[in-house]
Amino acid sequence: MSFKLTSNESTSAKAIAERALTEKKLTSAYFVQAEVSRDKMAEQEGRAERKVVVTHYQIEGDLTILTTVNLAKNIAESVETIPHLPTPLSEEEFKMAREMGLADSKVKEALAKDIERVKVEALILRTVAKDDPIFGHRVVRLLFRIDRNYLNEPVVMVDLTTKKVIIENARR
Amino acid sequence: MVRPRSPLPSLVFAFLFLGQFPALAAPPNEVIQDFPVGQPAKTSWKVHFAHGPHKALYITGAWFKRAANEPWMQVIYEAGLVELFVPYHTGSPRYYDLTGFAFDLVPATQADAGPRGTILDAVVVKEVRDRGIMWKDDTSGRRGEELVLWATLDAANYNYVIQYGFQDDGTITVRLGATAQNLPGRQLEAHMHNGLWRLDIDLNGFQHNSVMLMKHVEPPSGQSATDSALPFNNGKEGFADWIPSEFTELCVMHTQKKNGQGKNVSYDLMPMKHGVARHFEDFTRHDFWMTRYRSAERFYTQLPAYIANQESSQDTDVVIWCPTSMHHLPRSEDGRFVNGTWDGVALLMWSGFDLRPRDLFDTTPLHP
Repeated sequence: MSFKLTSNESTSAKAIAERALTEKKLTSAYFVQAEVSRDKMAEQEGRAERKVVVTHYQIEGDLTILTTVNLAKNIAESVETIPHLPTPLSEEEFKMAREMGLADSKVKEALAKDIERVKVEALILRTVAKDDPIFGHRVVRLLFRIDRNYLNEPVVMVDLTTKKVIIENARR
Repeated sequence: MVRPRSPLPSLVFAFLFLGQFPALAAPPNEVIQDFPVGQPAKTSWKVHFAHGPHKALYITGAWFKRAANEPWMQVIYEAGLVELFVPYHTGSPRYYDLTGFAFDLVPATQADAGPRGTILDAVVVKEVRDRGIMWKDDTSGRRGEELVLWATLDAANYNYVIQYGFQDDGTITVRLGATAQNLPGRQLEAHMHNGLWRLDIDLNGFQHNSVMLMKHVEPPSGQSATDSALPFNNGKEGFADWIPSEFTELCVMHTQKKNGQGKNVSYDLMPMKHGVARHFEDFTRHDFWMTRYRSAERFYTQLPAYIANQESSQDTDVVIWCPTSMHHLPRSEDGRFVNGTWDGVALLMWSGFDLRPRDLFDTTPLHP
């Protein structure tokens, strides 16, 4: 069994999942990933079908949507929503966070001449503490890298839920 | 349209001409290793592996032969990290380094592999190593060997090395190491790296597995000690904690398959603990969790919900979940600021556990 999806499989699974999401009116979710799903009983009995779990994320409500797609039958078998589940950052969200961060005037000033050559990486922060201001928010820490060196400053957080850029002081 | 040729005529020709069927190519993600290396096989491992975003390197099947003339016995259906939870001591940030972003595995280099390693699939290093002395009996002794598969996850500033060892005596070693650069802007702040593992151990197949909690009790008021192996959480889904004075271990037992001494074939989960991490998050409050197998249950953070019904989980298909934690208290060896830029990398810090056979063999393997 191959655990790598072909690009056709990935495209098909995504399309099937997004049709299912449209039916459920979950249309503002970002595509995160598609990965092969194993069915142990089916493997044991020699009847395993090609199934894929497609993950989407919706910023409103901090909602993760998992769609199980059966590629052999071309159908979505189930759609499950889980709030407040640690979920990878989608490509679209990463681009939004990067653009917001690099457009901030204080970030521009801090990066100065390096702004054209920095490579931007991202980490997601989250909390389960309901009284924490970022609970349920999609917050991205941007890291700025030049070659192998990470810049110590600026320390930039982008809150995609409130669409705000937060800059902290580096600590020594 | 050109139809692909059937391989059947070629195979028949090969049999008639060569007197044997040609070996079919192994799947690209399969490694088979006989021990002792370079000698007639006594024990063997067959390992399937995979890697992907948000999963790093993981095992998709592992089978062991305790003798060359015996069939493969399944040990693992699937095992790997399902999360890397890294909270910083001031309370924030709290990162999920495995699932936070689509981090890639770092391309492996020949320097990584060393003089005797090979690179599989561009990112996985395979080594077959001498693992040091395996047993001694006065002037008699033997050195052990192991197959090791490892890969490096690039989690932005940090790198994580995920390593699986398959020893000649049937032991599986699982290790997680943290290295590379401390968090930019917080290089001197202590934090905890928690590797969170999901182990779908299917000992001799997926059915008839039970999990026992093993503990050692030795009250200082007396001179004797007792050891017990009782059903984990009274035979139901749940959790347990590692108690240092009790040498807590789990034992995954096949309820029907026995060795030549009439004892149930089992594997012990033996943690490597420097300490036990406890955080605000409820999924970090215990050291072992056990659930019945349910294919949709893949998320460590959801464990409290998964065990809520406390379904019976004896003599069935079970999954074990456990953390391996590394407390990172920054030190000079991590690096220093040079002209405002951090210079240096944190040397590898390891955590992990072993899965060691109990009553798999009839007697001492690879002895004398």
